Amino acid sequence: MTNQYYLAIVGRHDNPLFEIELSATKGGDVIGGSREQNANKREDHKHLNQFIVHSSLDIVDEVMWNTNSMYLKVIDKFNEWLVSALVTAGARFIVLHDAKNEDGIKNFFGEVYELFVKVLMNPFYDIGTPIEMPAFEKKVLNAARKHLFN
Amino acid sequence: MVSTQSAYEIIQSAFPFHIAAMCSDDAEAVCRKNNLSFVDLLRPFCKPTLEGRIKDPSNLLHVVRNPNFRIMYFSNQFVPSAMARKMMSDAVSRHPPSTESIGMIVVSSSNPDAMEAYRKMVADQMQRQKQSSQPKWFFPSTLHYFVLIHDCANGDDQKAEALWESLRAAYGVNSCHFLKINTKQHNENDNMGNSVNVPDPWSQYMHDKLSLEPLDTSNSNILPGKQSPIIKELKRPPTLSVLGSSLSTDSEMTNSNEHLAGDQYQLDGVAADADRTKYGICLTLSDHDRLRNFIHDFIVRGLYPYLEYMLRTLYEQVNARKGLHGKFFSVTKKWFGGNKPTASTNSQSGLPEVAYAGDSHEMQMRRLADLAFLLQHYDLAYTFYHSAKKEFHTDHAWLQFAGVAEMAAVSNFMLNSAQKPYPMHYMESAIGTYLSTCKLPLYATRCTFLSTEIMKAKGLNNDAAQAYIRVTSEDFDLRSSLLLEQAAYCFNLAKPPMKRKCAFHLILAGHRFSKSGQRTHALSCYKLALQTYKKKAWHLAEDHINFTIGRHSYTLRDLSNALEAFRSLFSHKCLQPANQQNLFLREFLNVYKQYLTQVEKYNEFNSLVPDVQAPPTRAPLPILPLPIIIQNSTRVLLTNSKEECITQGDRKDETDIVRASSVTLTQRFDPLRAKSWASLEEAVVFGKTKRDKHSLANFRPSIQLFSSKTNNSYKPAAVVGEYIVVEIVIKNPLKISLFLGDVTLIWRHISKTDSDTFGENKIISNENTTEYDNFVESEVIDSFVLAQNEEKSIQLYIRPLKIGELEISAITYRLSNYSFALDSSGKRMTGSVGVCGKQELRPVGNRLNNTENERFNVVYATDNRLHLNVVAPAPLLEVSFCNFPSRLLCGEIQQVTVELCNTGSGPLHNLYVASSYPELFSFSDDKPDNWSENDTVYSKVPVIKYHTRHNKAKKITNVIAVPLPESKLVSGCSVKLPLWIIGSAIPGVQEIDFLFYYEPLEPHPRLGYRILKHVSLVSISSSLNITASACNTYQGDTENELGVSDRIDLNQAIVSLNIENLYQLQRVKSTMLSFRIMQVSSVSPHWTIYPIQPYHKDITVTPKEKVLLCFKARNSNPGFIDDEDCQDIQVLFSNISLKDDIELDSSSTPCSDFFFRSGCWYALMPNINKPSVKSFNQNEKLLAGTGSRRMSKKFDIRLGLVIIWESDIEVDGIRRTITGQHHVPVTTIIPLNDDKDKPKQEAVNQKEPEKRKRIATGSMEKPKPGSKPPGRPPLPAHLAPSTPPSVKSADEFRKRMVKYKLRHPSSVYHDFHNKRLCIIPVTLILQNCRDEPLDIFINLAKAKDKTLVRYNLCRIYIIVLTGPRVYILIFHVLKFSSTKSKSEENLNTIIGDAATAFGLTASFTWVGNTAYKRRLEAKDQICLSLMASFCVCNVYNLNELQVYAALHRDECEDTKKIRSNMVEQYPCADSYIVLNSTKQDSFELDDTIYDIADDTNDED
Repeated sequence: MTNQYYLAIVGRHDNPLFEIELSATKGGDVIGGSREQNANKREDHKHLNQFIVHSSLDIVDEVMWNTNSMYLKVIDKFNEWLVSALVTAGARFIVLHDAKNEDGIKNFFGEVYELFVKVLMNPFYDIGTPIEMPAFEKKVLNAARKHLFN
Repeated sequence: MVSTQSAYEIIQSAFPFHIAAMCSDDAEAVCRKNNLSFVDLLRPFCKPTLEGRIKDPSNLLHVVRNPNFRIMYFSNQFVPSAMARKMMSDAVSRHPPSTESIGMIVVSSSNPDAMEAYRKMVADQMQRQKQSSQPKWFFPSTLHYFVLIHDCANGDDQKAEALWESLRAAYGVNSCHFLKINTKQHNENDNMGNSVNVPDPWSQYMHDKLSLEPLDTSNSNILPGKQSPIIKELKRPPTLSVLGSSLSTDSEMTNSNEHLAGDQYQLDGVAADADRTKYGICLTLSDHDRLRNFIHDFIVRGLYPYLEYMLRTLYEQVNARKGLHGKFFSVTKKWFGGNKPTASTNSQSGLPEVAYAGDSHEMQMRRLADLAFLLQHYDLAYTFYHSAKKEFHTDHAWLQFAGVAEMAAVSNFMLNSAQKPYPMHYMESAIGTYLSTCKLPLYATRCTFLSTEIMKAKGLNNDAAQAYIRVTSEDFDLRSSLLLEQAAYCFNLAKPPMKRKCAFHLILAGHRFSKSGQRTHALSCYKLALQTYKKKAWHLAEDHINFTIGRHSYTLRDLSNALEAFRSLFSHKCLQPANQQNLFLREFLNVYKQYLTQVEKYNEFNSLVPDVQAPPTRAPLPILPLPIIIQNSTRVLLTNSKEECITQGDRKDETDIVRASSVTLTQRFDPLRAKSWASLEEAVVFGKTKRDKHSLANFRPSIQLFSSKTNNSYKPAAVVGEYIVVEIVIKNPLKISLFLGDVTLIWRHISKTDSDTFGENKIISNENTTEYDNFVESEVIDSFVLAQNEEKSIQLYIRPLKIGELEISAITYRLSNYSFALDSSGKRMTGSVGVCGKQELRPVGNRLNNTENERFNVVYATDNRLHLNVVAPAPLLEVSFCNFPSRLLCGEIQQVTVELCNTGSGPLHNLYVASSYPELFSFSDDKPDNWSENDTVYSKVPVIKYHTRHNKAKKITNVIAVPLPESKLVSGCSVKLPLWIIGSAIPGVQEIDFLFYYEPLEPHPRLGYRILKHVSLVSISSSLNITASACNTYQGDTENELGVSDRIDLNQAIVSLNIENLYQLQRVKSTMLSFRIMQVSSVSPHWTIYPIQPYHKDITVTPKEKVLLCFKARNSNPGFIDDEDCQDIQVLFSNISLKDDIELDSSSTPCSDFFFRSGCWYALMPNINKPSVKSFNQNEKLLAGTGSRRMSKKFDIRLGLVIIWESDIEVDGIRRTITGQHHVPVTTIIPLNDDKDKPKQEAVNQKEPEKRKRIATGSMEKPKPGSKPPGRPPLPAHLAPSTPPSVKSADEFRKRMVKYKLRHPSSVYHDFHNKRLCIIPVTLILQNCRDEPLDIFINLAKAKDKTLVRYNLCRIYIIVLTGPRVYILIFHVLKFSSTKSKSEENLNTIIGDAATAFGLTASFTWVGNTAYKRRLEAKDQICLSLMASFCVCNVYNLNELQVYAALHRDECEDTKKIRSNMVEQYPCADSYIVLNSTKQDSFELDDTIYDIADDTNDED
């Protein structure tokens, strides 16, 4: 079974700023489906990812006070999904994954956070609104390729 | 939050004393009178508040507070396990669990042989205890307590008393009770009255009983809205009535444990209002007291002494055994196996189980602990549970171990001792053992319930939630859902509350509820969770919740909630894939349809109430969520016809008729255009109709097309019978197509009847009635398809038929899933699923920001574009243009027939046309009545030589009155008028705007005037570029020796016209056009033009050619100086016809009209202010002004030239002749002698046409700086040699000392392939014009500036005038007819500056000496042989030399000095040579080439 990841960037008001499902195809290529694409795959469970991420925010909010690091590692689990989180000033980054990959996720978080900060600096981006930039998505996909599927 | 106290209570009530009651039939009968069984009768009194005192085994007094009982019938304590399972799955059962019981025996006093009955029942009980394992009794020796029930109302008191005496005697007073009830006679009649006074403590319990019925049946009774929110349920501390079974660890308890409780899930209000039976109707308050006393007696006298005794006995037994065996026993037991703990196989877990005999030491210990627990002696209980736990653990009796571990933890909690901290791990190990070792998830669940209750009491809500989640399993949906719901509840209790976790687990619980068929519970879970997920943008999750809610609500027939849920699926941007959206939509439509049917039925039911007066009304339409209406894009167009407003305004049909209704929906709002319309309207309203100036401030331009950009603060005025078109922009946000059917507008018409002013306004709307035909007519669009994610506009017309107010409030349509709406053949299926609904139209005005209030709040202006005033019928002008041209050449004139038609009601008058471009069209100003359509544009007049016509100069403004027959146009009539259109001077697309203004003849209450706007688009192509200049002539009467007059005649001038064909330059692909110059006319106050006789006729300007025409102009009124301020100027028209037989009337329409409208006239008359028209070329005006200022009056000339031309054009294979006219102003005469000023004057005249030319061609190169300005008039140059040194200045005199010319072959054939260089001898002939010898110096070295102009052909007509005699000379006609390939290079090199007075120069080189110095005797002539070398085929101007001359000085002077004295002579005429390579592709010179030198010679 190939690894599956689901990344969500959650804003201050518990609203998703960015979501992407990441999985590797048979050919080893990493594909990502954000929101509208990747429609056929696990369609009936797509909302489950949102549920899990949203509910794990409680744990994130609890755990983040117990540590100095931004990366919270695995904080929660639901069925086969593990939840890792990164807490930043602007948003909370949450990854659902079905296999342990602590370092990979940490690096992935680091890169995505950097990308996210660049988005924040974009004068055409309103903070707190969903990120709908294809370039950002592509870069996240590249980061996933680099850190999560190797 | 749950306090410790309440957790205590919960646990206490979870472990009640279980009392088994045996009741004789007659005793039962007594109770039945109250609709109650004996057990039920006692139930409200089973929690007495009393403090019992017992002595514990160590003889210390122990207080038992508020004991808790459960009395059950002896026989029916057990529900078979299969049945229990069913109940479990059916609903949440709350069947009480059994425990080991203590007995009670009841007999009625009415029993004939009461004593015998007692005895029998005791025996029966003993019998059963021995035979059956059920029920399980706590002790082998049961407590028997005898109750004698007496019915006070019916029974025999004395007999009862006697019985009581004997009973007391038989069993002792402490074991008996005499219970008297039913003191009140049962009376049906005062049933109701009594029930008010006597409290009914039973109903609450009996209600619990009712809920034992399967919940599903009660669900259907639930009314929406009355359903209690589950949050209330959650707040209620769950009672754990189930938990008692943990007291026992016997395997048989499994059965009863199946009845897992969750009685907290009963819905409040269920069956509460069901017709309730009255309980205790025969009981008075004193009866209640008696019952209370009975319980008290039973406990204090019967139960407590008994239990105290049993406790003591057990304690002694256990201690004795402990002393005897101690640990030794347990060790040996292990080794020898022994007979006591026997291994048996648990049927459920398959695990070898250790079974103990009932009287084994371990079981006794356990029993002792249980008893101590029941008696609230938790210290003792904990001690024994604890030691039992150890023993069971050693025995590996896991089930028993888990039980005591659990109870030890509970006892410890109840003990609440500071010394002994709560052993959480006991609980955990108990649950773990149940789950993993014993595989008894139900036990684990029960244990979890206890554990979580304690955890919650200790504030460990999070752990409690986790504990709940741990015992969920895949297999048991209902149980898991309950547990998950509890977990969610715990998350909510946590500090800080974990709302998101709570919501998620509610979703999970809801999911499991729905899997187990508990739709109501599922629904409430989802609804509760939705509160958290709402508006957080977790769209997939939200959609899932909404969809589930919708489905469940639908199944539960709660259609309005289902609808709401489905509707919210479309409230945000739907990210679901198409098939999911399709599903959503289908469900939504389906539910909606059913909902509407339901509502309709309801309404039908209501309308059964007879109300004949009420008109047939329809229910207000529901509001649909799809598609999205982009509110502020709504536009409203007031129009006279419904078709053209939608399609393109200038739509042409077969007859080439264009209807004037340029305001269409296809146009976007253009603020500049709106402004120009407004200024035109203002101009016509205040300029022509002499309205009060003070009302200027209130002037509002009339708007036809209302959009968000227009001022919508006033209600638009729509005329009865005319159309209102509403355009609505709608957007489909989904990935599937939407089908809208029967789209129409919803309006509200408020009619104001004039007859009775006090009468009510009659309001009628098509939303609720169908009888509106005579009020408003509105369009219905049958079908409208919106593809996925499409944004489209929909246009609907509406036509008010009565005066009043019209409010367009909404759009209604039938929304359906596209796939339903069309069958295979594309036809609409009859039964397509669709829902009729509406959406409101609420455009908002601009955000206001004027007052403080507006600035601090978000305030929008009222927007009235959909609130119209319907006003009385008014005249309506329709204008159509017949044969309106779509493309014109610059200056082309076309005649258009305008048909004006009044289609409204009532006559109209005062028709005006206002335009920003009044110079581009002309209505015939006079006599429209006798106008007939002509083929030609110009009217012809017989040729009369030198004839001039007088006419008045016409003044134009941008408001033009349109002449109407009888100055009015009655309703239904039409009139045809001619209209001439001229192509503007600037090529490109020309918009001509027409604003027709007219007034109703009879005063209209609301409309003072009406407006019709039209814009015509004409694309203009360049045709001719004409420049003109004028210069003085010499008077002809005095001639010098050269035959040239030397007096300048100020009343005469030579006018030269430079006509250039620009047509091909612009439109490469189109056919070439030749222009025939028909006539040149002059318009001037004093000047007239004459031809220079004999003159060349039939002048044709072929493509890319340039033609020069010269005329003579004469001041007919010499000495008269123009009064510039004179407004009413009489002007003279003179014509020179260049066609033999035709003279065109230039003094009448349209020729003169366009002249006076053109910029030309204003250039001539700078003091006449052109009407303030925006389009007026500011530069032109400026130039005209400065020109007149700079020049002295002496050289002023006011001569306007009109050049009328004709051309054959082929359009779509049809050849037709077009005519046009150009206007050129001539304002100054260039003085002959003022050579230095020449370029400047030229610039004044030429700048404007030059600019035009550049715009037109775009490819024209800018003249290089320093080069000669193009278009230099040639005349002075040619006159120069023949002009004698006369009165002019010395310089001028000295410049004309030598005349020279060049002689050479006019054309040479040379093969450049053979020989690269062609050297041609040229003879320079120099003539001394003086009577003295001259020194001359010829310089060949100076290179002339080359100006490349892209003419490949240049044909020049030169009309040369020398003195009074006129020679018409065709000077040079060069035709270039070589093939393209070869000529391409030539083209680039050959082309000299044709505009610079024949300056066709190309580079050649003089060879040999480049300078000569000669002496020329008086009147002598010498020849010099020069050599010119050429290297390409071309046309060359050989006049590339300068001749300097000075009077001869004999004394030998320094050469340099002589040179400095020399003066450059006027150059000779250009002299062209044509070099051809072969005969075929050759430049041809026309046969007649005259050399000016020859002519002058001849003259001489």
